Amino acid sequence: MKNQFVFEEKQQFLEQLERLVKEGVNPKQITIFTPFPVHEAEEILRLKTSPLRFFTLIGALSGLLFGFFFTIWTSLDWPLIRGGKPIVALPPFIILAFELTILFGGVISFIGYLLLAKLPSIKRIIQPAEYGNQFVIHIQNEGQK
Amino acid sequence: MNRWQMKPISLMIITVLGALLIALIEIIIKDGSDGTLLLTLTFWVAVIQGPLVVAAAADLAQGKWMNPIKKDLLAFYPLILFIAFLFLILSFQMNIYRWTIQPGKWLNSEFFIARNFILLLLSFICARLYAWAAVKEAPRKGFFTVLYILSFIVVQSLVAFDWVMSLEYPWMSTMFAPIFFMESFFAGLAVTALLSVYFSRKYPEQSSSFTKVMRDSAQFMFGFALAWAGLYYGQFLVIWYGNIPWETSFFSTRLDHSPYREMMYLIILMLFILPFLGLLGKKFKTNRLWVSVLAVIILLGILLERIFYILPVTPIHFIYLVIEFIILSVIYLLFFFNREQVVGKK
Repeated sequence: MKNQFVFEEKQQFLEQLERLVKEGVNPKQITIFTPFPVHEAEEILRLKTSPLRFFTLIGALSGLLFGFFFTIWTSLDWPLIRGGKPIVALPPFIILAFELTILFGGVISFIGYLLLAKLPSIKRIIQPAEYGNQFVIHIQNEGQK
Repeated sequence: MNRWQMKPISLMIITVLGALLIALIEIIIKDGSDGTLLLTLTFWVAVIQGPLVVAAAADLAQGKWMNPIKKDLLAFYPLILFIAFLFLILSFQMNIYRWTIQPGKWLNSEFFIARNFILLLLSFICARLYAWAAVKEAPRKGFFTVLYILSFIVVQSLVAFDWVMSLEYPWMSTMFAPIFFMESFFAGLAVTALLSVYFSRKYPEQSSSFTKVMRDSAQFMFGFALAWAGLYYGQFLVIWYGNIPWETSFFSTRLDHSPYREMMYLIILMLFILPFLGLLGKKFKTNRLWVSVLAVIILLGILLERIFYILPVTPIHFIYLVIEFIILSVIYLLFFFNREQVVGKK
C-alpha cells in the first residue's frame, strides 16, 4: 500500500482519510500533517481523548483555591482596613482568584503537554519534511518508528 | 407552501395591525402600568438588532462559519422600523421618567423622543442597505456592514443610557451601554443557535452544515457568557469600591430587597453560570436539545435582566406584557418564515 498521500484540498484529504480508516488501517499508524487544525480528521481517526484536560482542570481548581486562600490569609495575617471595607472582602478577591485560575490552569496545562508529548526532545521537534499548505497522510509500516 | 408564508401586503397589514393593537393597549386601555411598553421595547430591540449584528460581525471578520444561515438572520431588519414606530407610543408615557419634572437640555421629552426615533430610523436604513449589499454581494458591502454596526452601537447605547438608565436619574454608569450592546449580540447568537437547530431538523440532508453553525454559535455563547460576567462584574466592582451613596443606590435598592435580590442571582445563573458550565464540554455544543434549551435560557435571562432594571422604578402589567410579547413573537416569526420575500431568494 502506498504510504504517503498529499492533497491540496481539505475535502479530498478528509475523504481519503475516511477511506483508509474504513479499509482497516489502524489509526495509530496514521500521521497527518495539516496547515491548520482540522477537527474533522480527529473525528475520523477517533483518537483517544488526551488526558491533558485533567492537568488543566487540576491546575485551574488549585489556582482558584490558592487565589482565595492567599488573599484571605494575607488579609487576616496583616489586617489593614482599606476604604472602610471589611478585612475579608470577597469582591476584589474574586478577581485574583479568577486570574490565578487562568494562570495555574495555563501553566500546568503546558507542563502536562510537555510531559505527555515527552518534550523537550530534539527528535520530536524537528520534522524533516516540509509540506507548506498541503494536507498529508502518512502511514507508518508495522515495526517502523 | 408553509402556512406561515404570505404575500408582502398581508405581512405589512398584520404588522400594522399588531402595532395598532399595542398602541390601543398602551394609550387607551392601560391602567398606570407604564413600564410594560418600555420593557417590551428594550427586550425586542435587542432580539431584533442582535441577529443582524451577528451576521454583520461575521461578514466583517470574513467568517464563513455562518454562511449557511446568514441570509436568514437578515430577515429581521424591517422590524427595526416597527420598533421605531412603537417607540413613538412611549411619548404618551413620559411620566415614568422623573427628569420630566425638571427637564434639562439632553433629558427633555421632545428631544428624547426625536433623537431616539431618528436614530432607530437611521439604523433601519443602515440595516436595509447592509441586507441588500449582503444578499447581492455588492462591492460596497464592507462599508454598509460597518455603517450598520455603528448604528447598532449608537442605538443600543441610547437604549441603555436614555431608555433605561435615565429611569434612575441622576444615577449613572458608563458600563451600561457596553452591557446592552453585548447583550444584544448575545441574544443574536442565541437566535442564530435556535435557527440552526430548526434548519438542521428541517433539512436533514444539509444537517451537517447547520450543526456546524450551531456548534460555532454555542461556542460564541460560551465566550459571551464569560464576557457578560466580566463586564457586569466590572460595573459592580467599581461601584462597590467607590461606595458613593448616589452610585450605590441602584444596587442597594435592588440587592437589599426581595425578590430583586433573588432575581439578580437568577440572572447570573441564566446569563453566566448555566451557559458557561453547560457549554464547556465539546459534546454539549453539538447536542441540539441542549443548545436550544440554553439559547432559550439566555433569552429569558436577558428579559429578566430588563425586568430587574425597570420593575423597581415603574409597574409592569403582566397580562398586557404577555399580549405584547405574543404580538411581537408572531410578527418576528412571520418575518422569519417570509424571509425569502424580505431579503430575496437564496
